[in-house]
Amino acid sequence: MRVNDYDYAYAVARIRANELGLLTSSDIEQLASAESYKAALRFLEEKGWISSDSDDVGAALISQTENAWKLLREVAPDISVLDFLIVRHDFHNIKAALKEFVSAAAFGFENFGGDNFLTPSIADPEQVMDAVRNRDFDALPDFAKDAAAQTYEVLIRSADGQLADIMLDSSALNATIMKAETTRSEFVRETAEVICATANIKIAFRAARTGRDRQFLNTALCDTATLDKDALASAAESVEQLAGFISKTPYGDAAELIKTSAAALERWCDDMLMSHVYKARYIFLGVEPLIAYYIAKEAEIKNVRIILSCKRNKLPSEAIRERVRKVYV
Amino acid sequence: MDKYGLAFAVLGAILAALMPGIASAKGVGMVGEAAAGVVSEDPSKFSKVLILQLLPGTQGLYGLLTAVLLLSKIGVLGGQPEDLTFAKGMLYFISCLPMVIVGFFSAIRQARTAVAGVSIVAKKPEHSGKAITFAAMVETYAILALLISVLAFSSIN
Repeated sequence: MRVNDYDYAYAVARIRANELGLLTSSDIEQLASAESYKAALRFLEEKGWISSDSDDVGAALISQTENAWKLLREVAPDISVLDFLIVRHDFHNIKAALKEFVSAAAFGFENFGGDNFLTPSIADPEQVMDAVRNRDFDALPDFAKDAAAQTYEVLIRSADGQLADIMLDSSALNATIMKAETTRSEFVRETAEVICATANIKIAFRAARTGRDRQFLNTALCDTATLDKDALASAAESVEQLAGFISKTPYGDAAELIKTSAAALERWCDDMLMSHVYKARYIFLGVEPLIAYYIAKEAEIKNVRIILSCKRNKLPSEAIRERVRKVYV
Repeated sequence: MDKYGLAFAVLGAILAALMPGIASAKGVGMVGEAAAGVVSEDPSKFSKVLILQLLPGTQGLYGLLTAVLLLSKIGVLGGQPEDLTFAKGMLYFISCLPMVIVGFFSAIRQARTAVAGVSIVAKKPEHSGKAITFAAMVETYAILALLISVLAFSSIN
């Protein structure tokens, strides 16, 4: 389907109107400064995030993501351009279904639930469940069928859950790049590149900290244009080497953080993506504001989760502020 | 060749109405889509976005005005067309070009500016005046093109 920038006039206007509902940095500041967990919940209730008659905050957060995607589906001239943003949920769902299926088979259960599925996703979670239950991986979307079949083999033959995890996580990153490349949008490709390159940095960092071998890295890392996979895998032998390598890449600002803390690096990666999508604020015709809105919504939900978790554990406001991510508005 | 004089003059008038008209239709439609996006979320902003939607429509009116004035001058509208030489017909045709070209491109550019203005109204309705001013600035060049086209063919004797 050929879509040009003019076709996004309606979609962008709807998104701009909905951006008014995003939490601003002062909202996040207010939430972080709330006296207690209950006060934070009250604030979210005032903002319409949660209803007073529901105490399931987790479900409220999930529905925020689902509503954002529902809006995008409604307004986007071609929703497949945005698939790269959610394709990782499909791989998560395959992972959850496979693990549940293998566990159910091992313990002799006849049914398995599928409670850990993520939405929104490209394939319906029910379709994923059925495909795994019937071991009919051809019923899955093209981008996932081979990875699902290979992971199933690994789980059945070696019962190596960790290997299955990294195989599917790496396939998810490769699918993100692949989905982005099928679009004609430079912004989509750049966004996918930032998502995957920062994911690679986090994987390499964890591998360096835990002393994982080269084979692990070869499986876990994905191919990106801005970070050479082999060079990154070689550098991940130690944290110092990794920091040295990263300092010479476009992600050089992360080098110092690699030496300090995992939480700071995670935050930097999220902020890097947010900084990348900031330019969409000045684009009025095109897919960019739609992508930025979804990423902004995800960042907002992450911020709310972090703040609520900190409030539940009675962490001081300063500690919360160190953890919150950049917001879009 | 002289028999083509009148044909070129009429062609100029037709293009003056046609090209800005097409661009205005496209522009008004584009801004209308953006306006509908805002109004579907907040119907109270209808009047503010309506002004923005109307702005790219003016080039079509200027094109129509140019065409009517020229057709009237060469007698086509009165039913007694002048017997124009080829050179004179070409002069009439060329005099329409500012309106044809500037009218076409200014309508599209104005529509883009108006779409950006709709986003301003969506997020900061109190600044709708600024959004309208930005879009209205593009209008200047359509008016200048109208002026030069009308002055040019009016002075042909």
